[in-house]
Amino acid sequence: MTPKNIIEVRDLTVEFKKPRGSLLAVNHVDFDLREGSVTALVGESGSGKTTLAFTMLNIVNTTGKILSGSVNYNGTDVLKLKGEQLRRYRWKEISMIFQSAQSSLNPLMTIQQHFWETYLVHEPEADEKKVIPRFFRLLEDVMLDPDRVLKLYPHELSGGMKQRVMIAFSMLLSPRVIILDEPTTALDVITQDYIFSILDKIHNETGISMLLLTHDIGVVAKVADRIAVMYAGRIVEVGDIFTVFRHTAHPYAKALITTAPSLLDTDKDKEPIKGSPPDLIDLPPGCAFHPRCPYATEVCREKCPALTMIGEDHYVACHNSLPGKGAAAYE
Amino acid sequence: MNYFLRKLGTSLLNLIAVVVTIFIVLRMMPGDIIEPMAREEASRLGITYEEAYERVADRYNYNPQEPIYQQLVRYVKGLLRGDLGTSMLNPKNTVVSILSVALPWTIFVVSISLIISFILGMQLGALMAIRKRGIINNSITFYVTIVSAIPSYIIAIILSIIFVYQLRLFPKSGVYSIDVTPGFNMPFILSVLHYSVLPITTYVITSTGGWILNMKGSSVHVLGSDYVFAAQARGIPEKIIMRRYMKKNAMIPMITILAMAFGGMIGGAPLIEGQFQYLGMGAYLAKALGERDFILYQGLLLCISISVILANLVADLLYSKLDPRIRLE
Repeated sequence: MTPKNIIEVRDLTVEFKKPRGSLLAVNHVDFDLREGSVTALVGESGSGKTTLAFTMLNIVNTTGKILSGSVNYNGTDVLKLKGEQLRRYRWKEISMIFQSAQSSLNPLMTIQQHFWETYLVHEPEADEKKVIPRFFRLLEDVMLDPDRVLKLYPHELSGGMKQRVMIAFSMLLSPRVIILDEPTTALDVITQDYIFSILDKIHNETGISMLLLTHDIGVVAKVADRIAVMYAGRIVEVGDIFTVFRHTAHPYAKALITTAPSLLDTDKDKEPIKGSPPDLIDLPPGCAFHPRCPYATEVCREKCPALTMIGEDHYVACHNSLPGKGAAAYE
Repeated sequence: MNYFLRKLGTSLLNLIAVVVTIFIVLRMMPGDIIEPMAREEASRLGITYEEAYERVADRYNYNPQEPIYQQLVRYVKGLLRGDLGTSMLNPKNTVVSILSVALPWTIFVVSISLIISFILGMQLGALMAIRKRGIINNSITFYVTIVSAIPSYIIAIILSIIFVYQLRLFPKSGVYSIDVTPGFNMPFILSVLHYSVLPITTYVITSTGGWILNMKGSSVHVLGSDYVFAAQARGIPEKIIMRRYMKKNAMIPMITILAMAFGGMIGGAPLIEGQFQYLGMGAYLAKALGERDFILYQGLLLCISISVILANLVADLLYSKLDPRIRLE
């Protein structure tokens, strides 16, 4: 039985116009989010992770323009939703914790006012007294003292507390998907670990689907069950976490995984990824990774590889990963 | 409470600094104003010049021949008794009595103008921030550019020409008609409103542009903030975002400017009040300066400074009320 996809992104292209020219932050991307999974979307800054995630809420920044493609959620194309329908869809079906979670709250409103406001615009019939126990439960789930926290203003919370408030907030309407955009970037390691244990607990208890945007491979290995690697606006490798970690097929993904620091081995034999991320306005022809790729061949400079299935639930976009070639995964 | 007392303390220090500064700066003006008056008094009453000088100096509570610290002591003693001296050119009027006539008119005109231009500015500024292009935005920009290029007194003159001399809709000068008795009665109130229309219109025309641009800038800044984007992602309707997120946050700095503008405008705009012969602070300020009546000038300056300091204090307290990040302890 094939697992059900809760979100299916098809041939999605998002363009940003800049004074120097236009760039494709998301470039003909196909992507599936399995229901009930924790999928990690990994890539460097500027690889298009956040833009891809934004399209799932149909909230692409004003300067961005969706050129092609669809985002199907449960049979509806999210990109076609408008006005009231779109408003009701957001947060109720998919919620998101932004990279800027630290400044995602209105400085003039208390936490309770935030929760109640969002609840009310989705459930206009609601009665504040009746939903407050729900606010309490959500905050208790993230190990906060609801009595105190609900009365506080955003500036009165610490970074870790704010992040946990945002997690509780994202669960407010029991959505089916949460997108977490670098949820622990601004936090210290101890708090990071704490946040992930909370997320893990929530996932186990509710079976909610999660899309985790990160560049931290260590985090991915710990919490995700699927991984997708993005490079220069394209998905270059996607699959089950064990398969991808064991049989990494794309040279970029391989480099990302092997350069992740570990306590167990020394840094000496770690090879940094040579070169720097490409200029998205002026992408190299063919495979965008070829200037940095040790396995690059003639074909890489000319033709952009398509995402191809190379194993069970394992897709890669690389000319040389196919069996019998240089960086092949399944020797 | 702590916060309040601290702010109050700062205001008092400001006040002392202002009193001393005004006093010293005015003493640095050249010439002895008492001298000609003493000469005239001496010949009129047939007393010696020294005696006359003493009398005149006492009358105005100001003796330029004393050392400056003694003058200051004399001045401050007067201040503490609530005595700001007497108008030099019109010895029958004390400065306090002139202030008590002029200040209410200025406060009346300034508050109404500020309220109107502030509300207009907030609404239009927010609108401009939301609709970045389009006819509304272009016409407001056009208006603001034109108005900010024209000095306020020119607008006062244009309004005078059109509404006073051509259409004869509004009176030429004064604060109310001589046909009405001052007091709480309908004809008086209507007359006061009638006489204040042109000064208020001038203020509104000249100051609204600034409010619009300020609010637009502040709103654009807030619109670009993460919490507005996050609110959109939560499915909060645009109307609520505009009101509760954008306007409220964008208006916080505006409130401070408002309080300060109020304080600043208590000086009236001498040229606007002058054009309409509206006897407020500005008109007296222009008069006192023109006729070198600097006891009066000193009193007016002090009154304006106190207004500015008070307005700042109010702004600080308001700010802490509006923004939870600056709560009173």
